[in-house]
Amino acid sequence: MKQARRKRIRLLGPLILFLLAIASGSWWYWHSENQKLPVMLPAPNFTLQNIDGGNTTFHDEQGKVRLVEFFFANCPDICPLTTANMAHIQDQLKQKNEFGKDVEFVSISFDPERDTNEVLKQYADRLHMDRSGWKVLRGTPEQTAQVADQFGVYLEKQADGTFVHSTRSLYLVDRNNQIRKVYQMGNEMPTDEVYNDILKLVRE
Amino acid sequence: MKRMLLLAPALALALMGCSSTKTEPLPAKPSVPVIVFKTNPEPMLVNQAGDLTATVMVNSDPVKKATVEFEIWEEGNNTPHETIPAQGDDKGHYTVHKSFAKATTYQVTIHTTTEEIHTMPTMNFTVVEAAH
Repeated sequence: MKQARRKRIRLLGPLILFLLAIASGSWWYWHSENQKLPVMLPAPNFTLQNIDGGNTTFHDEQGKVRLVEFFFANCPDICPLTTANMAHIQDQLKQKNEFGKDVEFVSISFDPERDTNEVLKQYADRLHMDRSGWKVLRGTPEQTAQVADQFGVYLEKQADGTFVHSTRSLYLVDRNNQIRKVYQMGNEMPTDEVYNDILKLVRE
Repeated sequence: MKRMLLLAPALALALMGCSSTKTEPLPAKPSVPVIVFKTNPEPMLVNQAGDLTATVMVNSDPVKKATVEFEIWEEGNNTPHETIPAQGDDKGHYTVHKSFAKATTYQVTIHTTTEEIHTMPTMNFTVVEAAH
């Protein structure tokens, strides 16, 4: 009797251990940093003017992970804070030799009347945006308003020329033009999380 | 033992089931706050500290977790702008306690960032000599 029991344990014990290993492995995989970011929506396609010349069509940049920011240069707080955080991520990505090659940053001004090419170039230089891998785009007020609307950015121009705008208007787009995550801008921007998410998408 | 055999795959399936990929929608249209600015006293008196208060509300509900800064300068003057963080309370009031040395009209831009919206309305207030 005892012998039969021992035999059963010998046979079933490893099987149970094997199943538990699979279960805990799956749990670890899905709850770890390896978990894929969910797909939110296809990113809209658009063509806007690049301040360094020519036009940029968003879907033509397919194949690169993109971090898309909506901003205006006269914004004194939340926008430059966000851009400065992005510049920090840019420097981290450069150290890994990913910036420009696998990852591209896109900043879209929603104040094209005041944000001329010159104003935007000064903004980019001031915030150390490396335009070899960072496209700064503008269009007509109608074009940029349409692009912002397609991304779900809330914009309301005020009589004094400032904007009421969404604080969640920083988008992570994968190599296949899918929006994978939206982040808070300004003080609440999760800079380390953005960096890690970018690397996740690069590895996909 | 047979029970244990049945339990193990069930446990595995349960753990895997708990971990299905999440989907997230894009942010919905945000709620735009209404900002009402007041001074106390009204008008402010020269060299006497008073309160500058912005009340931040969404649909009549106070916004308690906003970041609010007052950028203040003399109207029409090319003087430097002073930016001061405001202290919030649980009624949506964001206040700066401050005195002014000059009787004139000042402008204040109220830089307000909520979880959903950034807005920066500019308003005026006056500082007058105290009556003797």
